[in-house]
Amino acid sequence: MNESLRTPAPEADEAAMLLAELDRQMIRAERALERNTLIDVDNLEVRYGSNVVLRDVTFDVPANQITAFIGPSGCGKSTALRCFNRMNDEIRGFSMNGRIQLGGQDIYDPRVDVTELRRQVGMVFQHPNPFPMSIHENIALAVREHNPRISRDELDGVVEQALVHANLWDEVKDDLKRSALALSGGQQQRLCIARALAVRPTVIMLDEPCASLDPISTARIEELLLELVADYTIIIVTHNLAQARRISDDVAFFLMGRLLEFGDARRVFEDPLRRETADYVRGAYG
Amino acid sequence: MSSEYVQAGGSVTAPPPSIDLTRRVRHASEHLAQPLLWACAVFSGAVVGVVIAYVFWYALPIFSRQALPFIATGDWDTAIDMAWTEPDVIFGALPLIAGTTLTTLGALLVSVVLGLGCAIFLAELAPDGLRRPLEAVIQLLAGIPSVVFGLVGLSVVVPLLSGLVPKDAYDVVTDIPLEGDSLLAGIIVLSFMILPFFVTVAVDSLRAVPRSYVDGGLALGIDRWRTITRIQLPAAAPGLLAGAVLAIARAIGEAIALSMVAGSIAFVPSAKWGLQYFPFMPVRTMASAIVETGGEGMSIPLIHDALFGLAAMLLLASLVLSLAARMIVSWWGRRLALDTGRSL
Ligand SMILES: Nc1ncnc2c1ncn2[C@@H]1O[C@H](COP(=O)(O)OP(=O)(O)OP(=O)(O)O)[C@@H](O)[C@H]1O
Ligand SMILES: [Mg+2]
Repeated sequence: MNESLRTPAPEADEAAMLLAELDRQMIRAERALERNTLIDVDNLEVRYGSNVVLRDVTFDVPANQITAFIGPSGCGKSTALRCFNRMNDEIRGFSMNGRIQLGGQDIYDPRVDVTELRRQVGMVFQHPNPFPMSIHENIALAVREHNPRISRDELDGVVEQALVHANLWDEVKDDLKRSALALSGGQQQRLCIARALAVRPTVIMLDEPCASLDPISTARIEELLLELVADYTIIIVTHNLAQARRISDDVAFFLMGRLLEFGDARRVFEDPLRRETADYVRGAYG
Repeated sequence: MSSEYVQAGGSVTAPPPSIDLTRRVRHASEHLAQPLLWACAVFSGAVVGVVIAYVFWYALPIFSRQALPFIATGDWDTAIDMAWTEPDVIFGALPLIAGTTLTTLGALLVSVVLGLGCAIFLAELAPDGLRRPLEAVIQLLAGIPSVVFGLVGLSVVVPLLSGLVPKDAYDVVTDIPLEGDSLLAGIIVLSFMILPFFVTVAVDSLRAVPRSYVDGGLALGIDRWRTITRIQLPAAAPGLLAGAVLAIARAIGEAIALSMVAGSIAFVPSAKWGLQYFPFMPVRTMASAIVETGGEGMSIPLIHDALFGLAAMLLLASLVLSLAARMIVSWWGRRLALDTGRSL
């Protein structure tokens, strides 16, 4: 009885909400076109078990730019990255709400092939993690997985090209059969970048790639990223604010699971909108 | 606060504090512990050395008398019978060597294939609720005495197999009767006996593979199964090998269960009548032969020597195996530059 009296109201509500949502989506779509958005994150919420790790995260990553994630330890930067290639799926207790689109496609759509997504969205980890194999095999392995019929010569070509791209070729070309574990930390990290490049991704995500490297190796990787951004969309997590200032176009500042500020890197560093951001980025000058 | 200040100010001229680095308290156990541990280690080492020397020493006569025939000819069961009365008998351990080799390799094959599946499932795929009980079952399997395995094999596996012996075997295979207690029964029972040894080591070595390798593979868009087979298994290979060696060592020494289910006739299985008959041929292993003839036979010098010959071969096999395993593991480590001297 009560319910039948009330029925018209929820329907009207629903319609209004739908319209509002439609409106919002239109605005986002327009903005996406304007910004050449590749990754569109809408109202992302992530939990590990009952622990909410990210909430209300909405932003977009434009193509062929470097977007930097900054923020104190534990604020959810890595978690956000792992949403984009669905590596979070491997973590027990992970659940999320909201939507992430890559090139207009919802990456959490059940029809999405996760392995293809991960090929498109490459990832380089904080600690260099070359496989315990030769330098050549480190790159060839994944290439062969995605293209089983590739010929030997073609494969060698891809390996060389990836190493050249990653600025590592000159240092290793004499002995590609050497174990990758015998390389220095900086070389290993560039090998990991080469490995990610070799499967022809669209996006490359790097989670504190320079955390265990010396200043010279760090500079080489920064240079490399500035070269690569012509062909790839790059997202980098970094604790090094000077680095974010040097290389990024957009900056996302996370704090305790929220995206506090997002926008043009220079603007965020020089004229932050929020006091928390200002406090945090002061380190970029200090 | 103020007194600290005064002290701090005054300490400029104060003499440096005297430091005494000699220990005040010495527990009595400390004087005992080191020598005691040394003694334990030396004693155990000495016992192993003495056993090895003893076995090889007593194996010398048979090898010096009839070295080649002993390992290359096929007369064992009749030789044993004759040795009670005749002074000069030629023993041929070939069927026993064949029995041990075939049962061991067969069981190794089965347990490695089955065990790898188990290990991958346990280490990577099983939900906790299933993993724990499964691991417990496998641990349990390792602790079951071999007679029990033999008994279950005798009452389950052997009757099952005897129904599968080709019907025309009696007419075709003229040298030996084919029954359920056979090479195949031995392999099946032995497989389950060595399975837990392999699985336990394999699970550990799969788990020991750094997570970052697996994550690296997955993040490159290599699917879960291929990541396991192409990255995790090769990385775990030395450990898997160690597990296989442990399983072999366990298998070559197994006597009781095989005596019960494998036919216990010193016979070199042959495929000359057709492969379908091969699995149903009876075998006797070296360890079984020692157990079965050991008791009274030891009073006859000839038999005594022959059994020590078998023991020496078993011992040699396990020494060579463990040495080979060590060498392969360390070679592997060097090849991968896992001696991470540079990164330290
Ligand atoms: N596998 C996991 N299981 C449960 N909770 C996790 C897991 N990984 C991260 N968390 C939690 O999620 C929150 C965000 O972690 P995350 O690793 O994303 O932080 P971060 O910003 O990358 O930090 P850092 O700069 O230290 O790398 C933390 O509170 C952390 O405890
Ligand atoms: Mg992180």
